[in-house]
Amino acid sequence: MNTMGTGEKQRDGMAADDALDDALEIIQRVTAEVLRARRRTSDWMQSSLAGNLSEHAAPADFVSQIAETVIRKVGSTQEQQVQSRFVGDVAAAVEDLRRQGKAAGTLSRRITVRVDPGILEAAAERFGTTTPSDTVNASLATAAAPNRFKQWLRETQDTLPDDFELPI
Amino acid sequence: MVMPPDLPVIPDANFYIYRLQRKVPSQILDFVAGRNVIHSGIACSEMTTAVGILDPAHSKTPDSSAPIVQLLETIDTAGMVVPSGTAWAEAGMIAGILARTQLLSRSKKEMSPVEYCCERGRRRELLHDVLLYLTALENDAILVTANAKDIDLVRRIKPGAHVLFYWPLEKAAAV
Repeated sequence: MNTMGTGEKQRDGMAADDALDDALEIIQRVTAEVLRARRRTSDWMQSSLAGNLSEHAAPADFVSQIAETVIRKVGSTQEQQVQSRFVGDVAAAVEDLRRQGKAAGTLSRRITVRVDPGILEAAAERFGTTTPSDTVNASLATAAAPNRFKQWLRETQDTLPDDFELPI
Repeated sequence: MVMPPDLPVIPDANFYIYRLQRKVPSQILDFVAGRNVIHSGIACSEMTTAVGILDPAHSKTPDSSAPIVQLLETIDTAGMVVPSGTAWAEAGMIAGILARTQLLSRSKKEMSPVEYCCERGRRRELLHDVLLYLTALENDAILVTANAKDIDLVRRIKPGAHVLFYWPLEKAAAV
């Protein structure tokens, strides 16, 4: 026999709604991150090279990053891992900064800034981020990290045979 | 060399290849390194074609494919640009005019199978060149290319884009 009162039922119903909202948010975020992961040149290229031409699966490291995001959200852990928040080029920038010892690995410093809303929106669109915090962190990481192409341009020791020509 | 300040640059595919062959003059490297670099989807597709066309089982393939893959790894896809639909349509028109004026418009019956195949390939090359040029124009960027012969022809039909021509080092040495 159900002895739950009306108030308890309402509270449980609201909790269920909250849980559903959380789940939907997680699904949307995971989907967006998988789609962004697939956009990376190197990922689809590696998939193609592996003969996986029809379906470009997200690489394992992105899956683990997404899993971390989900765990963090579901578990409401207080620890805010910087790296697991992003995928693709931003994650690469964070990784570069981590290797240089510049990234602390936590979002521990709180700042209050005024920003141009149009620029914030454009940045969010570029990074595919959904919160101002993620957008600002992504912008800072890409601004602080070295430009990987320019590093390549200046420093690469790779060579191509002298007779190499593009086929088209 | 006078170029508008602060404009980004778009390298053509051969710029990347010449860099790997140590054929880009240092002044050009410095110029590109000092600007915001936009990567063209057209140029990247020419490079990925080069990777895809190589036989994975051939022992020499990694010598050519690995450096290009390493390069592509450094390219931020968010900063990559492609021509608009309008640019594609206009590029076809310009490439067609160039094919006619460059005597690349003979009918199939007038040519041997080899000539026909060669001419079709040449027309597609021109289309790529025009697409790249229009991409630079649409993005108000400076096209960096050693392909003076074709891009100069495009410029005569559609002026407006900023272009930085250079000679690859071995050619410069021969001049």
